This record gives sequence, C-alpha cells and structure tokens, in this order.
Amino acid sequence: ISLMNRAGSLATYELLGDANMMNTELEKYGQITVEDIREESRRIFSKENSNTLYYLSKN
Amino acid sequence: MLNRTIAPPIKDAIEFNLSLNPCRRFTLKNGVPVYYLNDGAEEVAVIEFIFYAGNAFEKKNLVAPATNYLIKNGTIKKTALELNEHFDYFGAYLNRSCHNETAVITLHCLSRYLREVLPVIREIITESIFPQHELEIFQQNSIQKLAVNLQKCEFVANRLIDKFLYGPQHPYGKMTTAEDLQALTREDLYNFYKEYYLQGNCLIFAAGKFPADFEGLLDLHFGDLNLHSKKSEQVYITDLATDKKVRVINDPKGVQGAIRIARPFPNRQHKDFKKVQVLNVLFGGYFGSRLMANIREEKGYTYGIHSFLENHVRQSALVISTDAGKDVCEATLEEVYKEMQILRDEPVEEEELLLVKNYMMGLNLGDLDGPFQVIARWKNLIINEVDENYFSEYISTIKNITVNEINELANKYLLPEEFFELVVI
Repeated sequence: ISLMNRAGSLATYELLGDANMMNTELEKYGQITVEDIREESRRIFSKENSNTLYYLSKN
Repeated sequence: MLNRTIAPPIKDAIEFNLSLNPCRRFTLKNGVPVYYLNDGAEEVAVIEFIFYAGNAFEKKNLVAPATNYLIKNGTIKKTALELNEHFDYFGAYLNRSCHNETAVITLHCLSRYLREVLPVIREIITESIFPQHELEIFQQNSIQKLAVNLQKCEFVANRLIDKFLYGPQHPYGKMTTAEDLQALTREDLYNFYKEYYLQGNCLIFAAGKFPADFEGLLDLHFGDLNLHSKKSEQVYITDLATDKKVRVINDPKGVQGAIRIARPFPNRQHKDFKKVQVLNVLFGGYFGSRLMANIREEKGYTYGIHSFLENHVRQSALVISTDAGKDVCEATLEEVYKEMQILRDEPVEEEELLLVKNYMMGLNLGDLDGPFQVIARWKNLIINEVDENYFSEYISTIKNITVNEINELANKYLLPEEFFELVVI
C-alpha cells in the first residue's frame, strides 16, 4: 500500500507488457485450483528436472 | 487529470512542509494505551503489541529474547504448527522481536479477518506454554548460529564495541554466550512470561483499514487482561572500558578487518541530538559523505563506510563503521581522524550543507509513505519518550541549521581522544 511498492508493481507489469496487469493479479491467484498445483508439481518436482550439489568439508 | 506530457516543476526538497499525520488514541479498560491510524487504500492492517519485556528486564542472560522468540511456539490449546497454520490460513503474518526495553508481537493481516486472528493473539499472550522440545530446538539452532557468527569479524566487532561503550552488564553492552544459551530452562521463560507479559506493561500501535467497531474489538479481546501501563524505572549502570585502542585477531587467515570507532553520545532528550543527526549525515551518513568520498571513492580502502547514532532509548553512541582490507585498516583509521579534523577546522560550504538538507528532507518525505510508516514514527516518538513536537522540531532543524552550528558541533564531538578505536581481523 505504500507508494514505493505501487510504483514498483506498475513498473514490473509494464515491463512484462501491460501495467494494468497490476489490477488483475489477485484474480489470477484466485483462479488457481488444487489440480493446477498438482499438475505443476508433477512437472517441476521430478528428479530429472533437478541438479544436486553436495558441498563437503575436506575431511 | 494530470497532464503527463508536462514534467512536474523542480523544487528543492526543503521547500516542502512535512508534518506527521496525527493518530487517534484511546485506552482499554485496563489502562493500556492504543495509538492508531485508520487510513489506507487497501483492506490490510498492522497491529503491534509492545511489552516492556526487553533485555533490560531479565535477571538471567537471554531469558527475554528466548521468551519473546518462543511465545508463539505453543499454547495450552495449540501447537506451534497449529498456531502458524491459523495465521497462514487467514493470510496473516505474526512476527516477534526483542529489543533492549521493549519486546514486540506484530500482526499483519487482512482487515476482514481481524475477528478470526485477534483471539489467537490473546491466546498467545495469555496461554503460552514454552514446550521443552521447542526450547531445545531454539537452543541448538542459536548455539550453532552463534558459533558461525563468531567466525565473522564484523559480528565480533559489533558486540565488542558496545561492550566498551556500555559495559558487559549493561543491557546495551552484554553479549550472548553458548553457556548462557545452554543454561536456559523452561521455568526461566515461563516465569519471565508471567511477570512481563501476563501482567505486562503494554502499549498497542495499529494502522490500516479498521472496522467501525475496532476500539470495541480491542477492548473485547484485551481490555480485561491483567495488563497495565506504568512507567518502570530501570537503572542502567554504564561501565566504560579503560582501553581506548584495541586490536583483535579473530581469524589469523582473515583478509578484512572490521573497524569500529565510537564515542558515547546522549539520547534524543539532549538538545544537540537533532543537530548532530545533520552533522552525522554530512560526515558519514550517506553515499556522498566525507567518509565515503575519501575512504571509498578516493582511496578504495572499503566498499562502504558510514557513521551513525545508535538507536537506543536511554543513551547512545556515535559510531563510525567499516570493513576494510586488512592491510589498509590503519590507513583507514588515519583518514577517519583526518576527516574529523577537516570538519573541526574548516566550516562546510553552504552548497554542501544544502545538499545534505535536501537529502534528509527527501529521505523523510519518502519514508512517510503510508499509514504503516507513519504509525512507526509515532511509535518511535512514544518509546523514546519525546513529545509530538519532536518531529516538527527535527524538520525545522534540518531546514535551518547553519554552517557555524555544524562547525561548533564538530569541535564539540569529533574529538579523536574521546573515541574508542577497535579493529577486529
């Protein structure tokens, strides 16, 4: 609600193509379903889609 | 409708009039004062419950911060997880923080769910149980964090300089040890909670969009609690260190040194405080300061150097702080003292002072950016026990201070022999 945050949001959405998206962002969150999250998780959270780094001490 | 093809006229920041929006105040049935601002474009709110339950009140080291930290980690009816889930579900955030005099519980929430979250705040400040296993996790994590931090020269320097300025028993100067963490017991925390929260000295600050019955809601949930509003007179004993110049090797393989140069300074009640805030900005309080221009820009000894007045209630300190390459630490010290001397011997130019004034005004203008920020300013005034004129006097000081006053204050306070000098590698 601060001016700085509002300016930042407007700038971000303008960079993404349309400053007015700031007014519709909440709606988009509201439309997400449990199934959407499940689908997306299946796609992203697979072993083939990740790199694992082990950072060990010398001993 | 603004004509956006025409740029706004340029004005100096000092031409603006800046005032602090007044806040509403009322008292709960039990005498607890509430200060709030019912203002804001969005249906959100912040409410801060401030208890005089800070470090200054503990009789055993670290009891106050541990109690504050674990206060939301379990009540009679809910586990830590259940409490967190309750706030998450309603889109609320509950934070807590512990300071020297005050310990705070902060709630951010959507206005429309106030009635659902306020009762759980009440539960936390009346029925916390500090489960043993939660304390053990806290102890283990804290001990580990401390061990890692003690390898960093900045961390060691920060706590050492305060020990020099205030003394190892003083609330502002005492240090955390692994032994103190290990020695904490559930009884310690619960007894502290009983005295300083259950029967606590409490203030409430709030801002955002509130329903019409907001005052009634607060009274309903908190007005019957055994809280009060009494000034407590803690006495602090300052124990200034005797060694003025100290060098510490914390890490023989270290490549940087943490430099802290500091002198005791009075608190906001003192007539010089506001004026020295301006001197401080010029000296080391912004990117274009004397210290930055010399030691960073010209000499390249550090990524950044700054000076500041410590944000304490009862007494303060003027501190110059930087981390410099270990081979240029002594040279950095010399340059700091050189800049002090220049400010003592040569009055600043009007142009530079105007730049600093505009910078400070701009900072304040930008900082009063919504009801959350404004109520934070009010909280600052009240916790620091200064009256509402303080803000306008501060703005007036910025606008009207003269180059002569800056010079006088430099000669009064920027005296090398009155500073502690600490380098930790």
